[in-house]
Amino acid sequence: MIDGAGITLRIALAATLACGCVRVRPHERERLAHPAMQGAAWPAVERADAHVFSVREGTEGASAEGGGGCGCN
Amino acid sequence: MRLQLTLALLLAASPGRADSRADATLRVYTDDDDMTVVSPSVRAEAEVGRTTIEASATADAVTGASIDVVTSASPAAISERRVEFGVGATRTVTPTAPLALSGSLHGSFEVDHEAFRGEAGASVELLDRQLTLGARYTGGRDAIGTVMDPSFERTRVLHQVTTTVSVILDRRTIVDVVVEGTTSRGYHASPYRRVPLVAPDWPTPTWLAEEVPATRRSIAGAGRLRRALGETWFGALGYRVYRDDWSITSQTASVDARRQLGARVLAGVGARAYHQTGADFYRAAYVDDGGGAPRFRTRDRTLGPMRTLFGSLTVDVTLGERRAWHALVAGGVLASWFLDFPPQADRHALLVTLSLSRALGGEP
Repeated sequence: MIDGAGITLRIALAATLACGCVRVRPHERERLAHPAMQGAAWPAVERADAHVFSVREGTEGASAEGGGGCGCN
Repeated sequence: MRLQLTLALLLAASPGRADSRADATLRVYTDDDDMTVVSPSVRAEAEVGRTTIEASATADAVTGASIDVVTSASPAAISERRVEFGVGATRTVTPTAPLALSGSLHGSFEVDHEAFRGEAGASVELLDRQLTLGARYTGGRDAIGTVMDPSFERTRVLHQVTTTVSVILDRRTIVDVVVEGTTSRGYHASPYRRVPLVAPDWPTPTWLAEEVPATRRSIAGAGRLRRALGETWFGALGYRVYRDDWSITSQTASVDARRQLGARVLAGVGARAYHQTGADFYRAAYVDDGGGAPRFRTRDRTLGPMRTLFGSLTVDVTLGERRAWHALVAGGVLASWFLDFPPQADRHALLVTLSLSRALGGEP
C-alpha cells in the first residue's frame, strides 16, 4: 500500500502539471458534461458487470469507475 | 423487495427535489456451466440540501449444477438466495468549497456467508475543477460457513485504500487514474471445494479440504481516457494492472464507444479483454510424490491462469415529455478460457440487464 501511495502522489503531481498546460474554462465544458462522458454512464450495468467479473475472475479492484471528475459546474 | 413493488413505487412517486432518482434493475446471468443467476435490484438517491443520500437492495437467486458443484463434497444441484442492502451519503462541506465527504455501509446475507463493508471517502476539486483528487477507505468482514456443518465458521477481514485522480486535459478529454491497495486476512478457501491428491502408485485420488494462504495482499492500478470524439460520438479506453502476493498478475484492457442517436437515445458498445497468471500454489493436479499433501492446494480455476473476453451492447432511451424516465437494455457475452484446468477448458455466459429509472426532481 505504501508503494501505491507513492505511485498516486507521482500521478497527482503529473496531473497537476498537466492541468497547467491547457486551461478549460467552465463555459467550454459542455461536451464533458454529456451523460456519455460521465465516469459511469450506466451505473446499474457497470455495477452488475463488475460483480460478475469479481466472481468469475481471480482478481478485482481499481476499476476506473472510481474516477469521476468532469469539472462540470 | 420485489421488482413489481418497486415499479409501482416508481410510478407513484411524485416529483421531489432535483437530482433525486430511483432505479429498478433486473440482471440475468446464464452460462454453459449450468449456472443461472437472476438479480433484481433497486436503488434510490435523494438530494437533501448539500447531502445526497442513497439506498439500495439486491437479491441474487442462484441455481445450477456447475462443475464446482458436481465435483464438490455434496454433488447435488444448488439453489441459493442472497440479499444485499446498502446505504450511503455524500456531503459537500460548504456551498463553495470543492470538498465532498462520503460514507456507506453494505451488508450481504446468504445462508452460508455474511459480508459487511463500510466505506469512508473524500474528494476535492482543484484548479478551477480541472483536477479532482479522491481517497477512500473500505473495511470489511466476512463470515463463512457451510450448510453441511452448522458448527463450521471462519472469518475474513479486509482493508482497502483507493486513491483516484481525474484530470480535464482539454475541452473533450478527461483522464482518470485509480490506485488501490488491499489486504485480506483470514479464510480465503471454499468449504465446498475438495482437492484431489493423486499418488503414482494408487489408482484413486484422495480428496482433501482446500487450503490457501491466510493473507492476501494486492495492488492494482488503472487508467482510463474518456473523450468526446465529435458532436454525437464518445469513446473511452481503459487499462488495468494487478499484482498480489500469491503471484497472480493480471492485465485488463477495455474500449467503449457511445453515440447519441437523436435527442432520446444513447447507445454504446464495449469490449474488454482480461488475462491473468496463476497463483504460485495452483496446480492442475496435485501429486503426492512421497512428501505428503502440499500445504496450499486449491481447486478454484479462477486462481489458475485464465483469459476472458467480454463484449456488450447498451441502449438507453429517455422517455416522457419531461424526459424523467430512462429505459435501458444491455446485453453482454462473457467468454472464459481456463488455461490449466483439465475438467473445464472454457465457459461462455450471457448477461442481460433491464433497467428502468426515474428522475424525481424538476430536472432529470
